[in-house]
Amino acid sequence: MKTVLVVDDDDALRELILWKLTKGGYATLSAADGEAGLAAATAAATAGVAPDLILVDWMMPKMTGIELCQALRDNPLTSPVPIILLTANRQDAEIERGFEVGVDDYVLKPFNPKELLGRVRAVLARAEARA
Amino acid sequence: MNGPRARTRARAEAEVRPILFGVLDGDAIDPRILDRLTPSRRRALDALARDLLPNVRGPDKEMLVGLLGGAGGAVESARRDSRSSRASVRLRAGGFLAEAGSDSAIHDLLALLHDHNPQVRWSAARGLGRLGDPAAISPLLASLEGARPLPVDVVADAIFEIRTCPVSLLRQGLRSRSVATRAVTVELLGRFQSLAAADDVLGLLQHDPSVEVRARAARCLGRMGTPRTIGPLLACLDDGPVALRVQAIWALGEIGADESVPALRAILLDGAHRMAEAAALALLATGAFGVQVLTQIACDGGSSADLARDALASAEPEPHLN
Repeated sequence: MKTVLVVDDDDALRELILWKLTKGGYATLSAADGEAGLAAATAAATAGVAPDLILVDWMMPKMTGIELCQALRDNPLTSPVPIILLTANRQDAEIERGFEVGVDDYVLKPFNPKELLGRVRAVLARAEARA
Repeated sequence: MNGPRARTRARAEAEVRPILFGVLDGDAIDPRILDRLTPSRRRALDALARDLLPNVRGPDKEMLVGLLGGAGGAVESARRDSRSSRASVRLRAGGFLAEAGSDSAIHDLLALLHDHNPQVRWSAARGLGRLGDPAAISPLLASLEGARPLPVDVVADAIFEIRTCPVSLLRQGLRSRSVATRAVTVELLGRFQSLAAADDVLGLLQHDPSVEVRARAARCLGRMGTPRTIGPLLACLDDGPVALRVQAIWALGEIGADESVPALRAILLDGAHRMAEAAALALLATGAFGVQVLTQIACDGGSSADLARDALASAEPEPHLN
């Protein structure tokens, strides 16, 4: 079973995503801010069970989604893990910034939870094809 | 945060969450389940639905609004709250109406545009932007004037969020007597990159009596990236207010032509700090020739060298501090 780490400070949204992923057949991990997300990803990767995908919200306290993505990419243990960024920011330059730090895909908020699940499946399938 | 009340709320939320998520999954909801909820569970369900509203769209949003409306009419309640004597209640109601996007929302939010509390007015403008109805554009522009005018950037952000603004309407705004209206419209033409209006914007850059409008016009031309505006932008560098010159420098960097490089180099070497700093970043933005000049200045030493080095360093990916 694939594992998805969800990092989002919005409790209601995080719970909805976790619910959707669980129903979609994924194991889940979660964190409520960027620092906790980095710690969770690093701990899992160090234990040899890195998440298969990380969903990251852009706007978070302590560490933004972009900073988290950068940190994940800088760590050899977490750098191969695909990342999907959740963002309400529609400005092209900001989205480009996400891709610059190595985000694999992004989902614009507001979104349809079914669409999010589709993106997760697609990114995981691409990652599997690459491996 | 971890007191008894918070724990009770968390428990209530955990109990009603499956109902709410089930609704979003397309489960048909038995009205008797909702009827049997205790008041605290009902409040928890409504609070969760409200929290999720800004994050979902389409049928999911409609389902949430239906769930809220079906139990005592949250939309109707918010409409009443939008006329409350308490600003915090009006503010919350406006935010909810914008998220719920009901048919009446535009009318309620337009009324809140004239609220005596500035935070309520700003929130209403943002809400109108989120609603995305072009019918709000003219009232938003009108809200720049009058006894309680909205700030230029609040209105520009709201109209930009609507996304479908007719260029003809904006070009008309460029000829307004109101400085704020000209400022907003030139700002939006830049953000929408409406090249058809480049000549009108050029006219404002050269002749508008307002420094703010001229500075925004320079920025707008930078966003449009039209090389034929380089000459007039270079002319702005000779004299005039610093705010205008800084925007013209930025615009020249964005347009990215080699012919701007000598003027930007001169400002970096001899200009006041704020302009020199802007010139260093603009040189970086112009491309290979600008980077070559920056590198040379960085190697030569002196006060300009620090700015050149800073600009070059800003192009490097930032190392992350673990």
